[in-house]
Amino acid sequence: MARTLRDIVDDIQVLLRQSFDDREFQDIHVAWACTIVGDRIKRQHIEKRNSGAFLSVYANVPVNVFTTIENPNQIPNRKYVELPECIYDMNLDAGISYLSYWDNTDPCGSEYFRKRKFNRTSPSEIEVWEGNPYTKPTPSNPYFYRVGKYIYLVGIECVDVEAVEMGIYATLPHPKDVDLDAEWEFPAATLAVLQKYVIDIFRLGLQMPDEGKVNTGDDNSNPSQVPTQKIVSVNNPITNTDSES
Amino acid sequence: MIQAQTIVDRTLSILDAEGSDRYLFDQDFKPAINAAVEWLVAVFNSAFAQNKLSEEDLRELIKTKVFQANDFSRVRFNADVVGEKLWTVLAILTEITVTPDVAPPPLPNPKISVYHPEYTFVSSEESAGRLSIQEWNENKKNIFKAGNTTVTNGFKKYAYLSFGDYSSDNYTEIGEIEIRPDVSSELVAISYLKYPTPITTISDSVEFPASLTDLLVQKTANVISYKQGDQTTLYGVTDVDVQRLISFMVA
Repeated sequence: MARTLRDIVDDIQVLLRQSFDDREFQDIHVAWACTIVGDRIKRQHIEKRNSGAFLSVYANVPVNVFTTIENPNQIPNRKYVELPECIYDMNLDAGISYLSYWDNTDPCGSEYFRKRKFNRTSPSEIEVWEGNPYTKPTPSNPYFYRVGKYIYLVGIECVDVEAVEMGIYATLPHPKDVDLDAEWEFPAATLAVLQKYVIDIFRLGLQMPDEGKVNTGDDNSNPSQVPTQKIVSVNNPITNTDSES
Repeated sequence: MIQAQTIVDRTLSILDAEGSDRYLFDQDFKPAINAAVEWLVAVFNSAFAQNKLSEEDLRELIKTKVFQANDFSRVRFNADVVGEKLWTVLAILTEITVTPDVAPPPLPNPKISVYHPEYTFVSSEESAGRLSIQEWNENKKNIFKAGNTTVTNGFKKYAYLSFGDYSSDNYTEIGEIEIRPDVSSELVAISYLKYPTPITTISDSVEFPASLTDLLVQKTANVISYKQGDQTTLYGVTDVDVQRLISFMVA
C-alpha cells in the first residue's frame, strides 16, 4: 500500500504527542518539515541511484518566444520552455534528465520522425560549440541551457518546434498543493531517516519558551526558560549522507 | 440527572434534621442547591480553562446543535431561539454531515445566521481551534496556524473567534462566533455545555450526572451551614469533603 503524506504526518504527530486539540504544531507544519527534509534526502537518493523511480516526464511542453520582458531572465527572441515544476539543482543541471523533440526535417525528405535529444550547455560554452562544425548547434544537434526557471533552446531557431519532451527530477510539492491521500513520491527505504530529522526539528521547537503564556511582547521575560546550551539530539547523528561531500 | 429530592433527603441526614421543619425547601434547600450548582459552574470554568476537566463529567449538559453561518462566516447562538443558555463552547464542528441529509435552504437574510433544529448532527472530520482576537488577525495568512485562508487542501485547519459584538446601525446581530476559512451559508455544528437550569420545585432535577451527587450534597450542606454561624463543625467537615472531591476531579 502506498505511503501517503497523511500517514507520515500522523505518525510524527503521535510520536511528538501533538495529536490533541490546540496543539502547537499543526499537521501542515509537520508536512512542511517533511518536505524540506525530504527534499534533501530525495535529492541524495536520486544522485546515488541510476533509477527512473522519481523521473517525471512531461511529453508536451510548449516552446515559446518572449515578446514582452518582465524580468531579467527573460531573453527576447530566443526559443524557450518553462520548467513545469521546480527541480533539484544538481550538478550540470542533472535535475533535467533529458530534453528532446521530434524532428521531421530529415534531409532525405522522408516523413520519418527522429527524436532529437538536446545537449546540456551553458551560455558561455555555446560560443565554443559554435566554432566547430561537429559541435555547432543545429536541429540535429540542439542544445539547451538553463536560466532560472526558463530553459533556452539553441539550434532549432530555424525549424518549427511547437513542443518538447522533458524528463525532470522534481522537488517535493508544497504541502498546501499535496493530495494527502495520494502516494507521496519519496524513497520508502529512507523514511526512517526522514522521521528522525523531522522529530529532531520539533524537539528543538518543543524546548523553546511558550510565547503564548506571556503577553508582554518580550518572549524572553523568563530567561531561565531559554535554553542556553547547544541542543543536541539523542538520535543518531545523520552524517555522511550527502553525496556532494 | 440528580433529583432535588435526593439532595434534600441526604442533606437532611447530614444536618440530622430528618422529619423536622427546621429546614424548608423554598427557604433553605432551593437557594442552597442552586448556589451549589452555580459554585460548581465556577469551579468547572476554572478547570476547563486549565484543560483539567473531561466533558464526560458533565455529559447531561453536552449538546450539539446545527446552525447555518451567515455571509460573514459567523454564527449567532441566540439563547431565546435555541431555548437554553450557553455555558461554554466545547467545539465548533465544520464540514459536517447531518440527517436528514439535504442541502440547507438559502439564507433568508444573508446577514443573519440560522439555527436549524430540524437537522441532527451526525459526523464531522473537522473542528475549529480557538484563537484570540489578536491571533485571529495576525495569523490569517500564516499557513502553519489554524484559521489561515491560504491552505485549501486536506491540511486546511479551521479556527474560530469567540463571541463578539459586531453590531452597527446596519447590522443588528449580537454575540457571534466567527469561523475561518470561510463557511458562509454552510452548516456548522456547535458542541456546547448547556447552562444548568436552576431548580424551582422539589420535583425538579439538577442537570449534573449522578456521579456528582455527593459533591452537590456536601456543597449544599456547606451553603446551609453558613446560617449556623462561622466555624461550625458542619461547615468545616463539608468544606474539607468538597475540597477533597474537587481535587480528585480537577487535579
